[in-house]
Amino acid sequence: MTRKPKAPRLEIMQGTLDLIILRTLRWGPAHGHGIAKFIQQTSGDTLKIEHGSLYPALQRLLLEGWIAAEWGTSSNNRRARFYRLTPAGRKQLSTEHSKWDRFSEAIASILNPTPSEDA
Amino acid sequence: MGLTRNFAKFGAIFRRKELARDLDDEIRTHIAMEVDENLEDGMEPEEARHAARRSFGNVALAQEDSRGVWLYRWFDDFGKDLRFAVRMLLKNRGFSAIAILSLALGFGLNTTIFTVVNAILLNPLPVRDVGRLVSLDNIDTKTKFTQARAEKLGMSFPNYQDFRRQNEVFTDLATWQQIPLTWSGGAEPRQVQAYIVSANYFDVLGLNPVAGRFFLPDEDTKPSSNTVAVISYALWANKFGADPNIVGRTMNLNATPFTIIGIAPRGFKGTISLAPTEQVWIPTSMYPQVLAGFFADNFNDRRFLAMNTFGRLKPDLALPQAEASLKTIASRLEAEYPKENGGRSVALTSLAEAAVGVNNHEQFALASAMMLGAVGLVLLIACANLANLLLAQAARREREMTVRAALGAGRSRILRQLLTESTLLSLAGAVVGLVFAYWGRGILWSYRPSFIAQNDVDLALDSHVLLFTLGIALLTGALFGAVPAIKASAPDLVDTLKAGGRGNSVGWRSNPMRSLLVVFETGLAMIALIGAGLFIRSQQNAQRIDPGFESEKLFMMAVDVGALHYTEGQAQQFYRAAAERAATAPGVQSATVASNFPVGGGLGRTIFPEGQDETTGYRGTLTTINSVLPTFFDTLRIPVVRGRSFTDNDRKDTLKVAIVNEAMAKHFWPNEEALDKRFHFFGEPDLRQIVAVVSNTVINQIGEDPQPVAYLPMTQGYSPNATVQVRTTGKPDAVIATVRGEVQSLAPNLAITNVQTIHEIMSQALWAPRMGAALLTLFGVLALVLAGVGVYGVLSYSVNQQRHEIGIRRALGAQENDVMRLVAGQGMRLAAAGLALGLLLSGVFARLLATLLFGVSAMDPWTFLSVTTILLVVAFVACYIPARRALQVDPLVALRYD
Repeated sequence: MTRKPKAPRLEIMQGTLDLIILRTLRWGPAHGHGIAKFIQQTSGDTLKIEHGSLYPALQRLLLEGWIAAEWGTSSNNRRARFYRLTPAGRKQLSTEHSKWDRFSEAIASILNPTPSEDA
Repeated sequence: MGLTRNFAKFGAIFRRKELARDLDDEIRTHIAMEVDENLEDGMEPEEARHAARRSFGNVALAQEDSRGVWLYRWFDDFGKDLRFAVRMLLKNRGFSAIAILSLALGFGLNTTIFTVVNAILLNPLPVRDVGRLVSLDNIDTKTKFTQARAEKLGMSFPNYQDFRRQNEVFTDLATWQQIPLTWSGGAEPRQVQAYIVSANYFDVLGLNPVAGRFFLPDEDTKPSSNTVAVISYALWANKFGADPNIVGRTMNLNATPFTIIGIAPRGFKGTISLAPTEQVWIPTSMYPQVLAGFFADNFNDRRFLAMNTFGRLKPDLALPQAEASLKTIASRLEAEYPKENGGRSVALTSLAEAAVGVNNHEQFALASAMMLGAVGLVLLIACANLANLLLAQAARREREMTVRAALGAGRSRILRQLLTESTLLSLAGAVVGLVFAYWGRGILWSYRPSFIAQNDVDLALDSHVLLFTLGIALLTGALFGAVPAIKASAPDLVDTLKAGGRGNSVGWRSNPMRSLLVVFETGLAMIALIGAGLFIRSQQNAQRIDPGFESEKLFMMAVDVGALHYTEGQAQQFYRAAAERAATAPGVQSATVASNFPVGGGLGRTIFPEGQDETTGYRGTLTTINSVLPTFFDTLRIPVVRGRSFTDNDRKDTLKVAIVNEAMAKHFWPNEEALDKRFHFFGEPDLRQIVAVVSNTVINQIGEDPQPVAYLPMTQGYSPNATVQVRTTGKPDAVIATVRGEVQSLAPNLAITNVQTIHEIMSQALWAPRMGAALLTLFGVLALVLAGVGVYGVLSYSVNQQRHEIGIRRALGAQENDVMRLVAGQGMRLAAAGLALGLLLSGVFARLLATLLFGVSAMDPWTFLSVTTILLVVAFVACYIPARRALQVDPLVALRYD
């Protein structure tokens, strides 16, 4: 399968990007372009995400049942596909969120260890 | 609903196009939006587009990856399901073994039966485009027939020639007839099966020779010319040692040397599915050499339906159109030859269907459907049992499922997991089942009637059979997997189960799935047993049917003196000598000669009673003729009711006489004395006077309505083939060889065939009802046992689930009887519902089988009553044992149990 050689890149990106997308949709339904813009703006351009890589991630989230999609009309009158969070997605987001918090805490404490008595 | 979502997901693979289109649209919108924004930011149009593309990245990659997500996900899930399923099955070895074995039993039975049906009925002719080949037969509406199932009647040779010339619907029309030939030149003269065919026969079938050539177009035109023969592959391989130089060698058939010109393709043995594989084909022009007596004399008679015909329909021509067009020709021929063709028209039958006999297909199809239905019932019951086992397992695995669901597995994923497991079980069962079928077909085939040789039918486990097995395996897997799967994916049911928890009982409200299985199984077992019961009754009746002659201590052998080109005088002398020689052999009481085999039918000729003939508009009755020596009635012990037997004084030149059986007397002279009445045959002016009425005997098949027969003295109704029939004082087996030797010594070149006791013939004639009863009984008993086990399993499980409730009831003072009534009552109510359902369906199915039964009504009350009783008893036992166990529940233990 074509996926094999690209696997490492996706594995790293997957969880994080999924989490970001889910988080973005917390604010309400959005189309692909909107999600991309939102990520760019809120991360202050720190995260360079190719807009194209959003789409496989969206498909994956759809398949998991965490988001749902339907066609609608954008503010500038274009036919666009709007994604919204499902209840399962909401649950997933909170699990992932707390996981991420623990993860980043752990990383942070390794990188910036609090001096202990023994040291 | 989880199910729909799952279908949507499955569908995704097949809706790739739609999916891709959505994605394309979406990406295009995305880029357009980006371009809009860039323009607003003040970029030049060209630059705005470039920037948008840059920020999006590789469009093709995004598309491909997105699609990959769907596909990958599916394969990945499948791989995981499969690995997990294998692990589960290995973990529960006992369950897996039981499941695979019971499925293998079901698949083995189904595959075995299907193999036979496939070989004989579905796939019988290895010819080109068999769908366009049709058999053309006569339908006679005016002549009376007394035989059942003889609507389609073959074709006279002159009519065949006219149809061939005049029709506009066939690319060509061929004709054929089966005739045994005597093959001499070897150590011992023997009989070989042959077809006399038109020269275009192989061309119409679209066959090519393996070696040599087939007939040339004009090789059947000049009578008595072209002594050429084509032989079958099997004959070449078995009897000529696959000699590569066979073409050009000669073969002596009916004392005429034939040159072998070609070998037919492997597996082809004519257009009959139950024919020997060793065959010879010779052109119709050779009929004077290979036919004799009445057949040869009347070969060109337009009334004598000597041949069979088939044609290849022109492309794009529908059967009804073709038939209509041929009927027009038939009415033209009727008008042209009113005497011969009066009342006759034609009908078309698919040649593949006609391969089991043009009038037999319906019976074969019905019998096949019945057998497949019976084994199908066994499989369904096995399937229901497995569903029940899986349900029990699902209950045990509830925790696992809950954990999986909690870990985020969609309900549809669980459903798929369960279906993967059941399908895996089913496929494993199918593999073992095929091994069973491999043996099973051998065992089944060993019970075939003895006139069918071992290799007459190729019972190959071919691609049709493998597809059939795979198909039923997948279907079965889906069926028994679906029950627990649906349950697992329907949370309300699971909740009910949980809430009802320990107090759960078998009943509609608390456990509809299990209850349904019990009803279903009992119902199916009922149908299978009714079938078995009806056929047992039918077989008993058939066995009791009196053949009308004494069949014990009687044997026969067949001879064909026509093959030796005997004159009639020589033949008559030979018959008398053979009977005399046989009669004087030690251990022989008497011997005779007759043209017909016992229970073997015979030549039919149209009979007109005196005062009627073909010109008066009365078309006569086609009646079986048996030409016999005077010793016939004595030897067979057929009672002469009135009049006198034939004597040696009934010679060719004396008064023409006949003896009729009671059926014939009743048919032609219903309210009169038949004795001394006279009749004549179609095309013969001579009146024959009836000198005796004898009692009826079985003529064509056991169970038939009494068939009219006219007996003629052999001297006044010469037949070039005949049977020597011998009554012995003791067991026939000891005498057979001696008598055979005596007869052979009279004519060293004579092929003596069909040497067998009449007892054997009778048991062959009863083969179908016996086999039907035996198989259906086997299947019925299997169904009964499986259903019994199933009901028992469900109730045992339910008792286990109810330990708590029973404990409480006992603690509160419930008596043994109350508990008994509670547990057994639940089961019996369900069984009773199953019986009612079964009775209803049996009533419907049994009616369809009515034509396969002998002297027993499809609604036979005895059968219905006894089957109901048996099932009630079995159901009661299956309920009683778990109920007994329920009584042993110690209230304290039960209460502490959870």
